[in-house]
Amino acid sequence: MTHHYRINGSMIQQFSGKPVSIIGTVSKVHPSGNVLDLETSDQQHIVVRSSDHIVDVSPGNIIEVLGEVDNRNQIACDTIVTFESEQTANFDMDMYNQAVMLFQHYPQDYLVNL
Amino acid sequence: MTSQQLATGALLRYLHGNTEEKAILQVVGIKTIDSKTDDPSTGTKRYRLMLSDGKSTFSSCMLGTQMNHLIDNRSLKENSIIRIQRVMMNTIDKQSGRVMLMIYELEVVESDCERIGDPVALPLSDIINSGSSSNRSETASNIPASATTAALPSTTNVIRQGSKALPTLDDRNTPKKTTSESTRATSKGNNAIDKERITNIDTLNPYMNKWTIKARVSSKTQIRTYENARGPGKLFSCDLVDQSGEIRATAFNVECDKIYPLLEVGKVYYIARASLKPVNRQYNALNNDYEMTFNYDTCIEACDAGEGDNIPQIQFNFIPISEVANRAANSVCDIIGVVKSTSDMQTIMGKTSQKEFHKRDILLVDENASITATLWAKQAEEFDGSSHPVIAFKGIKVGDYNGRTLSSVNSTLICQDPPETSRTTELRVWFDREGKTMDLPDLSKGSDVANRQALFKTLAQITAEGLGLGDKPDYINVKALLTIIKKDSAVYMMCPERGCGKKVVDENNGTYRCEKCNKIYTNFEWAYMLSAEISDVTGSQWINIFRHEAEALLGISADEFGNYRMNQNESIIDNVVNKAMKHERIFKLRAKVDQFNEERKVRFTCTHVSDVDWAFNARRLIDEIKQMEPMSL
Repeated sequence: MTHHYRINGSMIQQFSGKPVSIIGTVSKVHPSGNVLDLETSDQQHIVVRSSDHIVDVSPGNIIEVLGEVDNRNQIACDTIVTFESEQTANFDMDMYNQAVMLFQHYPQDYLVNL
Repeated sequence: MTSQQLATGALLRYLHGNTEEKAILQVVGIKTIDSKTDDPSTGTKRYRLMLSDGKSTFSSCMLGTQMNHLIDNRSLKENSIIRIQRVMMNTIDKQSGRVMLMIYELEVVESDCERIGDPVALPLSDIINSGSSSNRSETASNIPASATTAALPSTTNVIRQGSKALPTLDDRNTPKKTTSESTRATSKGNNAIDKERITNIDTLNPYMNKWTIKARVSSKTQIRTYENARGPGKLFSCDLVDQSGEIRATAFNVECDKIYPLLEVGKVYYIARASLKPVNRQYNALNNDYEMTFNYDTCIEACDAGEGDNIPQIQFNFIPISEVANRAANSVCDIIGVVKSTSDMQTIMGKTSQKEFHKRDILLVDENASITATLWAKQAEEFDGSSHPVIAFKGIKVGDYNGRTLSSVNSTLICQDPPETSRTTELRVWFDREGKTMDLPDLSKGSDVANRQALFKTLAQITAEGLGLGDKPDYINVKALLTIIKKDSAVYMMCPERGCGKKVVDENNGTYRCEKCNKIYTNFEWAYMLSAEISDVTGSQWINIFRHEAEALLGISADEFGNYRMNQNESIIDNVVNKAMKHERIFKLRAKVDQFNEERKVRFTCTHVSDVDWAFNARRLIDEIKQMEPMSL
């Protein structure tokens, strides 16, 4: 699997056309079932379009979205990772956001492709 | 030939503050000053005039810009005669006596003219000294007298704006101090020191005009020489205290030599006219936002005997001993406590310097905590803590060896039973009543109870920093994974006697002998004595895990483990062991040197095992990263 860069909302433009991973909270699932609104770790709102029908996802859930940034600054996603509620109960979104920013700040120390 | 007569002596009269006069003067020089900085919008010119009153000239006369047009259209030029309509006198620099005249309004009386008389520049002394020159005779040899230009008689000196260079009536009435105690740093006399209105040290700031403090010199450094880009220099510093606070004062070069012999530690002085600037925290830890520099103007006068008794000897800013835990290593602080115990004099060899150091450790206690303070050299030699005195330290350095310790440095002041603070009696009473026997958390000991200092280290750091090799055991937290467990020796047969813990010998006849208790038992207990290897990204380390920690790790009691072993349920044991090795945990380790057959080796014992709190761990890592960055992210 190719490496997906972990980003937050404010980095979307920089990663246009690149494979990314975004963790955030679902704010809304569109009635069409293929689009959802995600609040990113830096409290920005982005649109995620899935090729498949989105299942097992409700507002308030924390999910991870793997996909690509399209030219409308939306995510064309091919995989959605969902978590057990026990796993996300103590998830510190702010800490995650700080980690994401550190990854960008020190790309040479963030190992990928191990 | 001109029919105009100049107002002789008018310039001096103006300079002494009598600016009501509308004198007739001659312009003997005009100079343009580019004042781009003054007037950002237009870069207006300002003209500087040299004026003559026939006898004297004065060159620092600034023309109000509203008059510029007179020069620009050539009606006002060199040798023009003018009548001053409005003028003000300003003091530029009280130190050197520099003053200037601002001409706000003038009238050109005669545009073209010849030079009148042979005026000479006013001497500075005349400008500074008042009175004498105002009585100068009106008539000079070549100046025709005229009723229309008679100078107004000079009025007696009045208070002028900003004129600190010129003595006022008040000053002349102040009786000069003639006692031998009196010492003056400058020759300007008493005029600066106002003993009636003393300012508190804690209110001093750079924007105050006039102040006098009454302060005691609590400490004084030696004269120190230095070199910087401007060349060599010298300085000394002293700490000044009064009832309100403290401040550091420094004197450089000329002032250093002048003032150093004047100030005696412990004596009280009146001090006025020094510069104030924001404090340089690198060198100055005193409790004041500003620090003082003695300059050319500074006046210092010793206090009469008895007059300074109300000034304290020293200013303390005590923090409770427990607060030292929150202070950074190498910072300084003020501490007060009771000496609970004193060590003997110890001699240690400096590793790098190969010099011998004498030191003495004292155990200092207050109501909530205790800490070890180290004294050196003379302080160590002279110290006697046998009476359990109250000791106060001013400016003692915080160290982080084994938790928190205090170490006296050159500038540290030690006071025994200081009278300046109520803490002395409070501590004395507390100690005599209960403190003597209290068991207090010790910031300088690595015991489990008080040791909140167990830091997180990687396994590589433990070896690199030589943790565990010191006199006292070190406590460290490590986030690691269990990689090897010696399961065959995980449990042993333990003596059933409470508190014994020794391994019993299996007599193979249903009895078990304990050599420590010297008894035979018919039973034994299984006990954990786990030897395991833990690893993290930086390395690995063998550790020992006993009792509760082993049980927490493996998830089954020693008894259960022993039974499985007895029953040779190897697969169950394997399961248990493998499960324990699956995920990372936080291991709290005690690292201690073990002397075993002449071999000194650090042994690690696990004192606590816990799951990783990921959010806490992430925060810790972010903090560590931030500390490594030069600037904030």
